[in-house]
Amino acid sequence: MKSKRKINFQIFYAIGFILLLIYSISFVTPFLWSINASLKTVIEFKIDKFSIVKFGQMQWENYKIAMNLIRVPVTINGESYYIGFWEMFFNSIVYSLLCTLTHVLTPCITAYAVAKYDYKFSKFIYSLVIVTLILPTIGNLASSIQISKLFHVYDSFIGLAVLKGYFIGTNFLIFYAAFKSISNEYIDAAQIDGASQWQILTKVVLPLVRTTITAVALITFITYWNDYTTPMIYLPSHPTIAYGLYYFNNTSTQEASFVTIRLAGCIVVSIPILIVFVVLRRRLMGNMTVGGLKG
Amino acid sequence: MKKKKRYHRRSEDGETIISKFFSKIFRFIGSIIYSIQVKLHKIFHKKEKKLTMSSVKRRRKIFYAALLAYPLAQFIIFYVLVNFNSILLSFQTWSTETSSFYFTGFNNFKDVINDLFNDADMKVAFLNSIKIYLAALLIGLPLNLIFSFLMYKKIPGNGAFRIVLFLPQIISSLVISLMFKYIVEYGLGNLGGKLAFDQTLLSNRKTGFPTIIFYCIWASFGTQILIYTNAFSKINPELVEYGKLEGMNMWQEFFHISIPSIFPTITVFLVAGVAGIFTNQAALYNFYGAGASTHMQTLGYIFFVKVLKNNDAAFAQYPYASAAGLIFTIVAAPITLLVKRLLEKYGPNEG
Repeated sequence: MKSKRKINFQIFYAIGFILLLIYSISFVTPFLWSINASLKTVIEFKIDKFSIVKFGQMQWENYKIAMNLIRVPVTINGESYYIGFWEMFFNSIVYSLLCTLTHVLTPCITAYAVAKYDYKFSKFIYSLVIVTLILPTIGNLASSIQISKLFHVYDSFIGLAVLKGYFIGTNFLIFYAAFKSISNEYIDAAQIDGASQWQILTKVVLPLVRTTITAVALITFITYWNDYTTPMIYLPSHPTIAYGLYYFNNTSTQEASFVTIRLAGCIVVSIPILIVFVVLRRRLMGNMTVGGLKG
Repeated sequence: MKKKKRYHRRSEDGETIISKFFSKIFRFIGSIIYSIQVKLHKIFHKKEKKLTMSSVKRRRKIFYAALLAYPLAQFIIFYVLVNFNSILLSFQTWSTETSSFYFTGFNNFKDVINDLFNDADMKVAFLNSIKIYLAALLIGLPLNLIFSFLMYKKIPGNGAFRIVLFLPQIISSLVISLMFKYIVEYGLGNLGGKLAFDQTLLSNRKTGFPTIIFYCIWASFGTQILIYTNAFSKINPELVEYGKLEGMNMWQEFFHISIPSIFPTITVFLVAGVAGIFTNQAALYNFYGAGASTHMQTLGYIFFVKVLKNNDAAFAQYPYASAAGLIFTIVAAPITLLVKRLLEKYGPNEG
C-alpha cells in the first residue's frame, strides 16, 4: 500500500515537474532571445536570428539609440514638443506611486470598517462590493472619460489617483479576508485599556496585516507601472514610460523600425521593475487570500 | 522544522520600507482625523469628564463615519454617476456642428442590435470572445490550479518555478507581447521558412487567432497562482492527514480535498470572469495597436478602440459604445447570477 502511494507521488511529481519545466523554458526563451537579439547589429540579425552574440561584439549602442528614440509628441496650449525618456520615467514614478497609494488605502480602510464594525451599514457595503463585483458594468469607458473631464480629474496625476482610488474590487476582498482573520479579542483588549479607535487601527490591527498590505501595494504598484492604456486615455499631456514604449513600437521612422532597437527598448523599460522584483521578491509573495462570495 | 518556520516568519515580519511608508501616511491622516475628532468632541461634550459606555459607542460611530466618508464619495461619483451617465449617453447622439450631445431615443440600441445580428465582423468578434473565454476556463484555469497545487506541495525546484510563474505579473504585458510577437515573426518566421510556410504564425489567417489564444493562456499566470497557493496552504491539516490515512493518492487529494476546500476562492474568479466575455481585449492592442485585422478582433477590443482618441470621431462613437455596453450588461448580468447560483448549488462544498 505504502509503496504504491510512493509511486503515485512520484508519477504526479514527474508529470508536474515536466509541465512546469516546459512552461518555464517557453517563458524564459523569448527573453533570452530578445536580450541576445538586442545586442546584434541590424545586418547580423538579418543573417541569423539565433546565433549567440560574442562578448566583444555586443552593440550597446542599440540601447542608447532606443533611449533617444523613446519619446512622445505632446501638444500643450497649441505648442507641440517631445517628451523624452527620463521625463516619462519620472511621470511613471509619480503616476504609479499616487495611484497605488489611493488604490491600496481606500480598499484597506473600507475593508477594516466593514470587517470590524458590525453595524448594519457594514453589511450593506459588503453586499455592495459583492454585487458590483458580480454585476458586470460593460462599456462605461466613454462615460468615465466624460465624467473625469467634468470633475477635472482628466489629465492630472492627482485627479487620476482619485479616479483610481475606489474600494470595490479584489483588493477589498483581500483586505477583508485579512481583517476578518484577526481575532476580535485584540481589539476588545485594547478598548478596555483605553485605546482610541485610531490607536486600535494603527497600533493593533494594521501591524497584524502588514505583510498583506505590503504585498498588495507592491503588486498594485507594478500593475500601474506597466499599465499604458490608462495614462494613454487619461493623461494625454503626461505620457508615462509604458506608453512611451507602446508609442515607440508603433512609430515607423526608419531607425525605430529595426527589431534590434525595438527589443533594446523593451528591455530598458523592463529593467527597473525587474530590479524591484528581485529586491522585494519575498515581500511580494506575501500573504494574500480571497474568501468566497457569500453575503 | 518548527524552529526554522518561526525564524522565517520573524524575518518576514521585520519592518520594511513600504510598511514604514504606509504607517507614516496612516499616522499623518490619523493626526488630521484625530484633530477633527477632538474638535467635534469639544463641541459636543464640553462638560463630559469620564468615558462612559455610550460615549465610547458614539466615538466608534464618528470614527466609522470618518473612515467611510472618502470611499463612499468616490464611489458615488466614479461608479454610480459614471454608470448613470453611461445610460444617459446611450440615448444621445454627437453633433459635430454644435460639438455637443443631444437625445435621440433608441436609435443607438437599434444600430447595435442590427450590427450584432447582421454585421459579419461583429459576429466574428462575438465568436472569438467566446472562444477566448472557453479557452481560459477549460485550459487556463486547470493549469493555474495544477501549478498552484504543485507549488503548495513544494515540488522540487518550486522556488524557481514560483518566480517564473509570477513573472507574467511583473513584466509589462506589453513587453511580453512584443517579445512574443518578434520571436514569432522573426525567430520562428525563420523556422517557418524552413518548414515551407510562407507566412508567420501571427499573420496567417488560419493560425493568427489560435496563436493569440495560446498567448492569452501562456501569459495568464501570476496573482492567481499566488492566491490559490495561499488558499491551499490554509486547508485544515487534519483534513489532509485524514486523506493520507485513507490512502488517497495525489490526484484524489487534489480532486476530493484541495479543490473543494478552496472552491469559494475559485468561485470569485469564475463569477467575475463572465463579464470578461464582453470586455476581454485579448492583448490585441498590445500586438496590433488600433489596427488588428477583423478576423481576430474580440468584442472588448472593438469597443475599446472606438472611444480611445480625444477627438470628434471618438466622441461620435461614445453613444454607440455606451448603448452596446448597456446591452451587454443586460445580457451578462443574468448569466453571471446564474453561474453563481449553479456554482453554489452544484459546486463542491467545504467539509
